[in-house]
Amino acid sequence: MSNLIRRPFLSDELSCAEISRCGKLFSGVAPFSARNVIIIIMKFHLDRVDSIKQCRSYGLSLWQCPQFLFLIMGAITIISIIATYFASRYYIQEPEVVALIVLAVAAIIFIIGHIIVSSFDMIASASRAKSEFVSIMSHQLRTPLSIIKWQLNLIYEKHIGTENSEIKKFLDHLGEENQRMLHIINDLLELNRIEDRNLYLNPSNFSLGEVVGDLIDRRNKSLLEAESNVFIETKIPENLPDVFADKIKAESVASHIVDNAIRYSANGGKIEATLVSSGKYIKCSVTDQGIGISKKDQKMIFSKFFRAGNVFRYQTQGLGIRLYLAKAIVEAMGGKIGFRSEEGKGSVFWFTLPAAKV
Amino acid sequence: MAKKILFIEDEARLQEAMAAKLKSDGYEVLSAFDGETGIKMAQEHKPDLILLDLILPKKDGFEVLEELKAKPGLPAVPILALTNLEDRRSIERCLSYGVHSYLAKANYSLDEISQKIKEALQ
Repeated sequence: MSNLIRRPFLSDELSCAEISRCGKLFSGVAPFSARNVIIIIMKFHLDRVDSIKQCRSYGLSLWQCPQFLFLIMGAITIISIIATYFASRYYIQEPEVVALIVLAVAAIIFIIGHIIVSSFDMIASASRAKSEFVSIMSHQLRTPLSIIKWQLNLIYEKHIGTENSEIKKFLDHLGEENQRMLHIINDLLELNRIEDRNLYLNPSNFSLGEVVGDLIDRRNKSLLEAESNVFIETKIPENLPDVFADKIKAESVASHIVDNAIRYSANGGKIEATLVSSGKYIKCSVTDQGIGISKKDQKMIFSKFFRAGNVFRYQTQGLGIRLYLAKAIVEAMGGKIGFRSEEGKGSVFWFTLPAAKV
Repeated sequence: MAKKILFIEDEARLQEAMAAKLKSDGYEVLSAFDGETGIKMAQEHKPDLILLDLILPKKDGFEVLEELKAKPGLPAVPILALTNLEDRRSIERCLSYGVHSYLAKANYSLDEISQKIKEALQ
């Protein structure tokens, strides 16, 4: 009996003396004395305090955390056993038999619960190790990439200037590829920060109209230089109220959405960026006439590392995390993000940000 | 007289690139390759601005900030954290020491950093 109740009730941290006391508890004269039950519950709770700290370290709320739920389950089960014993004393001739059956079932439930919690712990540790690995690797990679970036800056400043030589073309390629690697690493780091709930936001009042307008001017210039048949139109009303959000993050979300619209309008077509105010929020929508998203893929579009099937056929670059990041960032800033799309006809992606308080 | 900038950074090639840029912009550049030397040089040379990496040998950037802010005469010197750490805890910790700006090295060109230095010195 003591073996059965020992593991689920009392974790490995308990001393042998305490375990044997628990054994006596159920074989002695007063198996369910209130004092002993309270001791068990107290011990159980005290032993799990560390587990609650652990829940916090996972970044989960208590009600999502297996350790805490196990604790609650333990308390409910103990109360149920006691209640069953007292109830059976009034209605059944041998209440101890009923209590023992309930106790045995409870012990099995506890063992299974303990296995689930331990497995979760192992998965969480593995996930944390992976996340730390990504973080360390990304930081390590950013140093050489920073060196390449700064040394290239110097080469341009001191040796290249504005001349249009073949060397400049090659250096441009080096700079662009270096920047591409930095974007990938930055995205992975941002993903890690979001998953570790370690995202830094620096909110202020600013004009989303200006941010989106400037972004689209830059993109239109690049599209023109690349002789693309895509052009982005903007509809930004004058006197649009400011938003209250992190300006750099808001710009990164807008650029994810605009860049996707450009990327998936490979056959040309019009892209339109519209901003409207709806009182408490400012909404930015980007409409394209591109390849659209199939119904099957629409459910997955904000998932991590997801690339739509029709996209992947001809566009193999990209990690498939930008929309996941955009969603997490917008929601962290108090806004919403969404889309509607029809395969072959195009998509509308939109996000909202809270309007600044006047 | 040229303004003095102390760059505390353990990566020699970043030091080299930054020094070349800042010298061409007319600044006098002092280089420290670890936190301990950085603190000593800050006390000795009284720079007009400090560029500070956070992951450093001997004393890390946070320890440097803590000690610099406690030294007489130094708390007013603008410090720009120039690091590749971008997590919330590091940023908030740095800002609590009153750094002027927090810049991710990989995300800023030398011209952009030079612009930030100019703003901080005004």
